[in-house]
Amino acid sequence: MSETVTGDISELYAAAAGELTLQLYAYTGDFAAAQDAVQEAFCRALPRWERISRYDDPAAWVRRVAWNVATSRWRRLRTAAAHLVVQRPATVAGPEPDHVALVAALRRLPANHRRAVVLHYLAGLTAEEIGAQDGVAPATVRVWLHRGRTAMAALLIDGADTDEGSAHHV
Amino acid sequence: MSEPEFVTPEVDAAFAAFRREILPRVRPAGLDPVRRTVRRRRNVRVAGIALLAVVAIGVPAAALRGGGGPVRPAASPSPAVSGTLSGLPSTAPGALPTCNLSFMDVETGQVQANASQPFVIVKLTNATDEPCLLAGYPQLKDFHVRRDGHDVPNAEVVVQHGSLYAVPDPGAGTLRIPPAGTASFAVGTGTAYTGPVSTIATATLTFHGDKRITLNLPANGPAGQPIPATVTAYARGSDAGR
Repeated sequence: MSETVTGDISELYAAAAGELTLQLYAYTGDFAAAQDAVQEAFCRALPRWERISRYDDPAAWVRRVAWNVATSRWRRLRTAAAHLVVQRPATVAGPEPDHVALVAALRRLPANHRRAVVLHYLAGLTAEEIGAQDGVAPATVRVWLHRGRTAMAALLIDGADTDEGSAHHV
Repeated sequence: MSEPEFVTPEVDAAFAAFRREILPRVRPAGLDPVRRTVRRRRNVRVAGIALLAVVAIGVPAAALRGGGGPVRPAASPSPAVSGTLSGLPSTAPGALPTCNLSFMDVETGQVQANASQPFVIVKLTNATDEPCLLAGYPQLKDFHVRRDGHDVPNAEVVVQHGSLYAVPDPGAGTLRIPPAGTASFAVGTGTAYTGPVSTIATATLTFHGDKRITLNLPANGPAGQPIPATVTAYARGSDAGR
């Protein structure tokens, strides 16, 4: 997702949709909502593609819109309702959030820490790029990243200790 | 990816495992549903605009046909359009929406004059991401007239269509205004009549939506008659077709 993708929107979709869904699933803990946000971002990109395709990084536009959609609860609920029938592929069985330790740990983080950690680890963005997307200083993002990672490390270790000896849920 | 001072191997490993586990299970719905959704939204938008146009044209037209009052004779040989529907497009080629003034930037130029005919050029810029249509002549209403620094209540201004000395009238047509594209028209008055000169300070430009525009046009007219003003049709570009 961090690489520049230009040209046809189908190329961008093929390159970015899966990665974006992964990021937003990690962020929201809701696989269906992540899929909906990604589809909605492409619905907004398609009519504007002539303009967006001339940007230096069209993928960044789509990513920003998808994240905005996902982070707005009102939009997420409305979009989910609108897409429920027509967009969500019935064949995809979304993973259960409770089965994924990472998502459970991410849920415990404040939203801005969670967003920074996910964008850093899954979108491969630097603190500067995250700051540009969120409109905050890179130094602030570094603080969020540090606190988020520290908290996550503790949560993951605690979780592993708690789960020791129990079956792995998948 | 991680800066050295923040090395957290548990987190790195967890994200790597998460990507390995989840990414193969992500099967995006594809672009076809996206295209269908975009098409459906466009159709809904076009239908909504068409409905609004029908209401905007049909209701007042029905009221006029239904004998809503005596028809005033025109004050000049040219068609008077103060508050009429003549600015609305009668067709919508390519199913494009008509421009909405709420989403257009409107700028009024400096007052210029040619042969005792002051005029201003009003420029409209499409501030949306979609092309839209402008048709016919601009509608102006609710003129605010001042004389000697005081408001002139109930001052009547009659708008005619046509050319000014300095600005030829391109004639009524339908213009496709692309995003960030501009259209313009000229408003002119006369000051060669005997009698005091007033100032048409402002007027409301109306199409889809209203916008108050500042004109500051000196004007006078024949004694005891409304002040005549002339507008040219919408022209492509920012100089009213000069």
